Amino acid sequence: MSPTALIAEDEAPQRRELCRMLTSRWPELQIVAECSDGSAAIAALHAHRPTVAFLDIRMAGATGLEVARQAWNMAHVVFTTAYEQHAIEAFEVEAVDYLLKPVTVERLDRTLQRLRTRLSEAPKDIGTVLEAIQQGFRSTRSADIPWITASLGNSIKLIATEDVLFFRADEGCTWVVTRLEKANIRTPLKELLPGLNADVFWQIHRSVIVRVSAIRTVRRNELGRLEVALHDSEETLPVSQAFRWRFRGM
Amino acid sequence: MHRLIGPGGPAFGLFLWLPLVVACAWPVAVLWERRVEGRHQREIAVLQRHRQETNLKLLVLQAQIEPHFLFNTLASLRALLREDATRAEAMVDALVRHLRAVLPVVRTDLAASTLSDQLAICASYLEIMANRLEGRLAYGIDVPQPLLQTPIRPLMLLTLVENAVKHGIEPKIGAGRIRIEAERIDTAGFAVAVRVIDNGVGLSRSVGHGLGLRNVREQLALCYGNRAALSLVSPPEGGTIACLQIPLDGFDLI
Repeated sequence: MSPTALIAEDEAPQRRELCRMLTSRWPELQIVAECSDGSAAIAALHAHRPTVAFLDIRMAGATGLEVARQAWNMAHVVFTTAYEQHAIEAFEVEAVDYLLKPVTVERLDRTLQRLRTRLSEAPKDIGTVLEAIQQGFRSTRSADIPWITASLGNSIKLIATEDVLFFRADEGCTWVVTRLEKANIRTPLKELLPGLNADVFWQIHRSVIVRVSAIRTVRRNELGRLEVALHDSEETLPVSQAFRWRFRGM
Repeated sequence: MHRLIGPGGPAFGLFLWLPLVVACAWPVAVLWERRVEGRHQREIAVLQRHRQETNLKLLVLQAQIEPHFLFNTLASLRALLREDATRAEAMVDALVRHLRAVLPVVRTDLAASTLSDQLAICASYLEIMANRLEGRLAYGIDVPQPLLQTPIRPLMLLTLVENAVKHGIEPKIGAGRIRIEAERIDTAGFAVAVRVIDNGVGLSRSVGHGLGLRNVREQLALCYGNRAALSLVSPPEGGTIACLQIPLDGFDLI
């Protein structure tokens, strides 16, 4: 039975080029599916059960890594990438096959040579490498979130974290308040906190995170509770017992 | 010291002392004032230098060519060379225009940058991407003639267009569209609104917004003060609208 291949690549010219190169360098290989996005690749994978899957890492629908997670126990996976430094490092460490784009004939020949010798074996378990790459993707994101995606009426708006005066949780949603607008997000304060610079934003109540530089005064209200008044906002924010220490000695 | 006061007694001594103190203190005071003034000037110079450094840093960051973009473009070219030499040629030309526009951002370019130049840069980039994505990206540019000469800090608009492709169109399954338009406005003191509108996946489903946009914001603050604004909104019908509001009379060169 001749080996079969699936190609998933979201840029059509590159997809055709890889097909062409494979056909010329490995004529017995039968290309059974050419997919332009990750979701189509997953569907084709289950429908055709190819021997080899060539997967671009960045694709719409599902990434090549997500497709690979479903593919590894049925197909030999070869990743293609233009430039994904941390992925390439992980591939090297785990000896996972990959092709750098633009794909050269020499490099393709080497990969195909290896694939031919492996065809009789079961596909390599690449779970660890996928996990390592996912970790890499996560760690390249900066610790401080620069933008918050919030709902404003029926629209969604990108709000710069630098513009936020305070966050206030209220009945399952979180209000994001700037000098000019008030929008809401679904992220609870607890999840928001790790993405905020701890010197810039302080939690002062179970339901309030405030920008320190936005605080105008801290005072005791008529009930004897501590509350914060802000520059650029009419609202006053409560300070709960648990966070009172923040204002000691001020 | 005693000899200075001399035989005339304390009264005479005082008369002698006073002008002496004044005479001595005067130059000291003047020197002191000069020192303070000098310190202020030095502080201003330091601030100025800091601003220039920030400016340069922002420009260099903005002008970075993403390796991912370059290698993918070359990979597409490799395919087109065999399939369609005319298309490949057009793509090489567009890539060269793009690289020339993006690589050396020198001060003279900075001063002369207009909306018209920046739209040309965006058009080259969009041409490359439309060739690569083939059928998944269509684009249009619609800016009224009188606005074309509006001065605009370079490469900010390109960042918005790159974002529309990367975070709007590329993650979308099926065909996408990007339109750049500009209009004269008169709200909140802003004069021109330039919008990059895409019908991509929208803000809620996209990730990775960040550094490019943050850079644009910093440049706006640095060169326009509060006379410019940037907003990104996904309307209920989907897609994303990035809107840059700038004044008609240009920006600080720093």
